Amino acid sequence: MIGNLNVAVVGVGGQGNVLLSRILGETALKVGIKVRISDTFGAAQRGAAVLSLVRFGSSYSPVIPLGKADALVALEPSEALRQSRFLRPNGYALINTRRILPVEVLTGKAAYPSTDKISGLLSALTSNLYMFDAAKLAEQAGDSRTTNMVMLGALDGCDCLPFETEAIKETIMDLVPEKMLDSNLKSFELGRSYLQNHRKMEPDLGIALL
Amino acid sequence: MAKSSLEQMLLSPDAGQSALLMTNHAIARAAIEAGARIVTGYPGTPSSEIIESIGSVADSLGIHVEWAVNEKVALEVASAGAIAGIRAMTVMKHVGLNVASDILMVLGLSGVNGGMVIVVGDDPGGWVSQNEQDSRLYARMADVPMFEPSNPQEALRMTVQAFEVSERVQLPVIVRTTLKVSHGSGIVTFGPIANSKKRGEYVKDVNRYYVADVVAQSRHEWQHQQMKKMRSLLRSLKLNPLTLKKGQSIGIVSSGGAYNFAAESIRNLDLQDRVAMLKVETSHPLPDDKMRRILTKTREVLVVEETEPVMEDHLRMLTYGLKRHAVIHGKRTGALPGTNELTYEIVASSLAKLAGIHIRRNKKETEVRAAIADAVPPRGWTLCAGCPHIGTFYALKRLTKKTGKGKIANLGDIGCIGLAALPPLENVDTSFCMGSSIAQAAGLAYAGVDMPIVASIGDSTFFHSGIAPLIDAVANDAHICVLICDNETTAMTGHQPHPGTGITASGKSTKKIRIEDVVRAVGVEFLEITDAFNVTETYRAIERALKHPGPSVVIARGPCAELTRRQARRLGTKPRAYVIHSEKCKGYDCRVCLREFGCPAILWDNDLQKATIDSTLCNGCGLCTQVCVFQAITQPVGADALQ
Repeated sequence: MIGNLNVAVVGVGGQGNVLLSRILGETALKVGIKVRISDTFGAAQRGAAVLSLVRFGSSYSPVIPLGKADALVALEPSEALRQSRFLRPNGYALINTRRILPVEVLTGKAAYPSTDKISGLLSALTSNLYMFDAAKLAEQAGDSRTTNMVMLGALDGCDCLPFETEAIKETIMDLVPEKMLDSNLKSFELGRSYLQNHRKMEPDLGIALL
Repeated sequence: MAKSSLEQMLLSPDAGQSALLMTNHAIARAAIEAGARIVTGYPGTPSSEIIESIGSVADSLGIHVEWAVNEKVALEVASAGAIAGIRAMTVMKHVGLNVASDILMVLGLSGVNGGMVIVVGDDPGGWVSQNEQDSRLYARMADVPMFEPSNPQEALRMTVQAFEVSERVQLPVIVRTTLKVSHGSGIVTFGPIANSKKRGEYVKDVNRYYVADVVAQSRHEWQHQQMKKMRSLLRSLKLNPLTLKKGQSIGIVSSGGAYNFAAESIRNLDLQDRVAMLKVETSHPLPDDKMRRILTKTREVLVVEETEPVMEDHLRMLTYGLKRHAVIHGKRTGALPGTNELTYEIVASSLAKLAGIHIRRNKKETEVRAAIADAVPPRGWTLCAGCPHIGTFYALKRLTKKTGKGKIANLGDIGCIGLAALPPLENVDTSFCMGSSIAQAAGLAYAGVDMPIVASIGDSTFFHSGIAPLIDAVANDAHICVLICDNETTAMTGHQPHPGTGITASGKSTKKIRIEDVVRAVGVEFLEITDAFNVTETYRAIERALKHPGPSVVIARGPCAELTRRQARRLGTKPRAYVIHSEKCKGYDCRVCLREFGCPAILWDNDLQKATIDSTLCNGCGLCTQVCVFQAITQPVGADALQ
């Protein structure tokens, strides 16, 4: 039986949100799974919050209802907090801990919560919380701009996606320019093994219906 | 999607092939399938991707594609193609239709011969616009058909159909999308590419095309006949699906993006057996027969639409003379909010209430989510690192400070310059509509306002709507300074070319129209051109301009930071990032670079208690060195720079 799976990908303009969601969507198309995507952009170069919602299976709207995302993939920690409104209780929260400070914080008008505070707040919502320095893994892979691929790898490492790892890698090879492919694939693998090594429990059955 | 593969998709000859496309790209594909020969528009979120993507393949298909100077010109250009019998399309955002409305109101009278489709992207909530006006009211006012798709596949099918219908009734057809639909992606199956007429033919007919006086009167009657034809055509078009089963006591009438929320609410609340659905796809003319059926066969009707209660009012009108009909719920009755975008949550809770279903909420979860929401720092928009406008508005800010707090009236305009209203620059006072800054500045001067008056406007906006008010200001000798912030592109909407760039929508070189030539030609006697990356130069120029007794113009010029970055990427170089020498930085008590200037590449290092520059964000423009009087910021030279 085909169930549904909702993934929210969040971050800040320029972090590669749209590519990440596009790879998920194109892979679904390839393996014959219905998919809809909602992208909030237009401010992509202007440091604003960006949001891509990906819905596998049967849906009408590309927008995930609040509290119905099975996984939240966050390229930036405060954006994880902001968009956790989409995450269902006990859904996967995969969060890059590297911060991008908003201008309101830089000018001293707002406070940026500590990583411990973010972790404390979100762990009240989900026991499947994974916060790690994905940017560092991307740097290890040779290009800090591939943090999005680390996070995609981590999502795949949850074993909740409705397609094989190889299918995602094929899409990466289709969509990423040749000269950046090595670091992208390396980052994907690093993210994937990070999650596989740190996963606390078997995949939550609530989201593994596909 | 990688660009090359999008081009392949748009050109694909394989009917039946499937692709993952954004609605805007599906509309581009539809124009190609329908064989549009002229495609025009002006950039504006959420519609910009349509022309952009057609531009990348236009030459190979023999399409004349153009980013017109504004929407009025865009529609006029395309309409002539349709009058000459070829298929034409014009694309704009909702407020662009205000600009194009002048020709739209006449085009229904003359009618067209080739299919003419106007795509308009609405922005319920006004997230990226000055308002949330509802374009369906324009379709009614101009009395031309309007289609409203809900997803990419429908956008493809209905846009192709719009070309066919336009030819059958000889009227332009509007296709309306909304933000969430425009930028939503889904799997789309292609149709065949039509072999349409390639050359237009102009057949003179003053009784049709000289629209005025008695011709306008007779054509108005003709237009009514055509719309009558359109109404009878509705029955054969297989649009406006109605699912109505016996015993269903609730009916929903919905359209566009709002329909998706309504359909999903029915499914998630498990109300398929109780709720009938009329999905309206022709927002004008509305499907009266089906609307009457759902009104008479159900007891309650919920109207789910964005943004104005257009269908709700129409349904109420249709109840006139009906012996028995459903109670109508919608924006007028408070069942749904009268402003802003709808969401799934709003629609589902309204439907649940009507159906007598109680949606349970987990109290603990609500508390947890409230605590999270409290801790989220805001993240507003900013100008980019290396943006020339930061230099220009920092100069204006210093000048404003010198003349006393708030002592310069700075009227703003549409585009990136509006972001200079945000902290820390906080130096643009107003934003109304394209080009309004100049005429409103003049109006303040005529009103006798005792302040120096500046109108700030971007380059693309100047070409769009700034030239006429500048002529007006010269002709009436307004004592204002027009500050044209020229970043050499239409930056806010994604770097589309404009007449000042010398590039066409398909990427070809063309005559470059220089802003300074236009300014001089309309009789402006004071003109200075400054380097936007030189704060002192711009500061002094504005200061001199304001002393000039009549209208003056300062062009602060510097390429958009994103253009600089793209060029560096093409050349395989990296910008040479500046560094802050922490021993020279005065620390927390100063922070002028953060509190007053605000380049996003300058960060605060909490451990050091000093400002620092993120070398990956720095564009190497050097503006910040003009801000720090302690000379703590320098650009590494020689071996240091080569990392």
